[in-house]
Amino acid sequence: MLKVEKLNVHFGDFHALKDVSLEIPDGEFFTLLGPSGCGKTTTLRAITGFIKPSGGKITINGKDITDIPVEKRNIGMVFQSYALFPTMTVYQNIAFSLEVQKKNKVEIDDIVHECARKVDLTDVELVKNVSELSGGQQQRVAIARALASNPPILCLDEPLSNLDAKLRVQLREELKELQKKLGITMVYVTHDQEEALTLSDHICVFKKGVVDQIGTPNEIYNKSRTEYTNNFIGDVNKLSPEFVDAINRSGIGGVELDAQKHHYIRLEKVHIGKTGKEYFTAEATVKSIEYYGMYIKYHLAVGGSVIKEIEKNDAMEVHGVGDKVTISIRPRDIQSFVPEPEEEARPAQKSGNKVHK
Amino acid sequence: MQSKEPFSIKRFFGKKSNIFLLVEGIFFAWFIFSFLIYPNLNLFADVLFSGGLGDNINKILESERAMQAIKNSFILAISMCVTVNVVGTLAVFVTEYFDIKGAKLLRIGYMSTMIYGGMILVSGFKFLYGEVGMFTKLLQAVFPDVAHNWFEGYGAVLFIMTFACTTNHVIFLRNALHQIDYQTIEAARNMGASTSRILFRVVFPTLAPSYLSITILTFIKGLCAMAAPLIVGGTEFQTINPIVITFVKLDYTRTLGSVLSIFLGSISFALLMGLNYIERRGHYMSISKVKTRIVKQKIKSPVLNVLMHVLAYFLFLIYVSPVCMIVLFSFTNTRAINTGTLSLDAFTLDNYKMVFSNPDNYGPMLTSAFLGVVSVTLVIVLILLACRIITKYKQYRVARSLEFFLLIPWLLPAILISVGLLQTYNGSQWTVFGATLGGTIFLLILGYVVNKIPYTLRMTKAAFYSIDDSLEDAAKNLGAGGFYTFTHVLLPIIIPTILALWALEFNGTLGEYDISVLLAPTTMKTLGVTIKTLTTDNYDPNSTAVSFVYAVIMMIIAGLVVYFVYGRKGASNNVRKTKHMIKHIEKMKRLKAAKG
Repeated sequence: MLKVEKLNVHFGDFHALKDVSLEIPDGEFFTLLGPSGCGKTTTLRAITGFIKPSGGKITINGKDITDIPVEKRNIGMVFQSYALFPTMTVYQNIAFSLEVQKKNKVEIDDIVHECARKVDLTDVELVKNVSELSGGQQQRVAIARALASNPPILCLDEPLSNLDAKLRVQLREELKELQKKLGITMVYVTHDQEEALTLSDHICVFKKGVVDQIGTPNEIYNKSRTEYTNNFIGDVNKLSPEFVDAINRSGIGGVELDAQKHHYIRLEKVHIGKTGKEYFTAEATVKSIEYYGMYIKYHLAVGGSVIKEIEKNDAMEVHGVGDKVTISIRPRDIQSFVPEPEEEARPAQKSGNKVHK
Repeated sequence: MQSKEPFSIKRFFGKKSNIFLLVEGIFFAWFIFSFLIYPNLNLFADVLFSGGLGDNINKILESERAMQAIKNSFILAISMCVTVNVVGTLAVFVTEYFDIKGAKLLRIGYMSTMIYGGMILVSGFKFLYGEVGMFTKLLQAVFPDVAHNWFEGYGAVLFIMTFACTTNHVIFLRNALHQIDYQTIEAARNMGASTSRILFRVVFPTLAPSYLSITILTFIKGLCAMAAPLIVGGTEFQTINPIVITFVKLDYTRTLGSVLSIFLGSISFALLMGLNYIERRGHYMSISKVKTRIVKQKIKSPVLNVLMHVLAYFLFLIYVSPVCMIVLFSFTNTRAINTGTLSLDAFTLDNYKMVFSNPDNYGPMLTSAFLGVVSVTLVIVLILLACRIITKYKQYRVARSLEFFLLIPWLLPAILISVGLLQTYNGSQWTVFGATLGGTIFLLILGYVVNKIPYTLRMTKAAFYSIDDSLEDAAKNLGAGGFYTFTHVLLPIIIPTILALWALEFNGTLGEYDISVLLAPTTMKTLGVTIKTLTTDNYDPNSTAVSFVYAVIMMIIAGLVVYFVYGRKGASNNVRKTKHMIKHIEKMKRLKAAKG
């Protein structure tokens, strides 16, 4: 169990982390998620020891590691760039930490081969130079290298952001499988919400140096605690006050939506042509269409506002621009939040490469 | 891209631009043959046929002076490979890798060799450590046994050459160090590696290719050393280059001089070909797209930290004290200069008055400036023409061989090229239609132009390649002809590079010695030759004062050039940095506002 308690980090006057507390059980895939500058990487670097916190405690199975220097901490790390040593072979890269520990040659050889086997690296690949490897192989070497010293925890700092889109999806699956197979605790940093949702057992969403919500992917997605997290994860429709008023007047679903709050509904929870007594319906006009193949995204004009809607492309009728349709929404699918300032409620989705302090 | 249509003579001559191309082609063929190939072949033939190669080699083997010079050159070159690497590495690592207080100031000090080199640098060191030098006096005060001429011979030459040749480290090694992905250093720390293990297992191996290149260049610099052995080598430590000059200037040893220069040329040729091969094999490219910038490392042990600081500032003193001394003493009277003592009433502007009022004194400056303007302008026009052919017809073998031939002077030391030109064009020569170039200013300008070709070509070509291909296509698509496109679209883009190049090359010509000592007409005195005379022959009590004024003027010019070429680029970087900072501050303000 990795425990972070009331962690605070200052960079000069800048309060980068404010009372961050986390509990990560053994064998979990735990993701730190948020836009750039939110503190997720800072938290990871504090766990690995690259950053000295100004307050708080980090413990592993009850043992305080807050003041142990990086090189003595033995927490594995996979870097954003993988940081493989370009002058060494794959074998030498994996053996690095073992040589630091002055293990004997036979032992080093055993461990290197064992680690290589775990990540499916062949003997041929072991003697290669790292520049000869593909992106996928590089990731495996980076993981094998981090595993060599048998750390209880593996930290990964946006390892997939280095790659192109297709490889990213492929390596994401590979990573998840590997984590299941090895059963090791992984702490994973990303700004990509899709990555976080597909990989994690638990996600911790960061907002400007504080923890906004910790939960399973489903909790984060369907039961966002704040407007910020709700907006950061996935695509969402914000309902106009007129729309909310119409739902309230209809009395469908037996809920009264608080006019003081902001109300949202996910795209996949809006339907076309679905009826039932628990559905609120409204007339809409198709404004524009985004055709994705597997699904179609409609932009629908309802009254004065636009609602986005996702339709599975399963041989149903495809609507054209200008078509009149009836949309239906279950009021209990609506998520309501106490309003936050506009700027805070809409976090930037894209995160650039951060500058390490 | 050019389409590869079959060559047709009718089509070729059908266009005006092609006739122009043909004229260019003929010109380059003549120029390359006459001045880049023929003089060297001629020199070689000369050595072969006047007494035969074997005979001449025997003469060298029998000449004690020549053999000693060869031996000394190799001793110097090999020692420099060690000392230059040690000092250069220290200079780069204390300013770029370790967290040392005042790194910016230190860097400026270590870069001082960029604004003064050759004769000036040697004369500066000699003034400080020489017979009347302040340091010598200091030394004698502590150790009365130290001889006046203690700063002479192998040690003195090596010392000066070491500090004169770290420029490559400051430029290339620094760049290579900044190319390292900092995440690899963090990864090593994360796996428990100590500072020294990180340095020797991660950092140095990554820099190895750069070290190899720099070492080869240093070795060649050592072999071709001129100013330092000439001025502080004394009688017992003379090297090849000064000997070649002495030999070539006397009729009965001329062939020996040629043989020695060919010897030097073949070694440097072989080494540079080797270097080319190594560079083509490539450096350790960082395999990452998202690497992070290197962060300076704090030295943890307090003792080591203090030691490193002391060392860094000690080096700084060695670098800057000659410059400071030259500038300071250029404002003092002759007595102060010749005795190396300072007093308040010694300060005067007389030296400057003396230089600027006497044609004998300001003459060499004007001569060298004139030579610089003419030769640099010529070489740049020549290379612009060549570059257009090379980049435009890059898929044709003729264009590629044009580039190869123009790079010949890069493989040969200036001394060999100069000796070749001197021997070949001393009398009437058919390649220049029977004219005699020897003893005229044309041969000297030619010598400068030929020597400047490779560097100019490399820089200009790089500028051309940085231009987006589609710009030229776009101009053509909009109806512009080839020449119009060149002058209105391409040239304006590369003009800043060309101007920077012009300034750098002009600066290099000012104090030049090796070429002008051989090729200048006897009545013409260039600045480099004048400074050498002033530094070694102390008949005139004013000589050192005059050379100091020259040095100050040249350092100011060089400083300006370096500032305009490198400094202003840094300035634009600063603008970007400032913008980044402002953004950051605004972001923090917003954060605070949100929190409050």
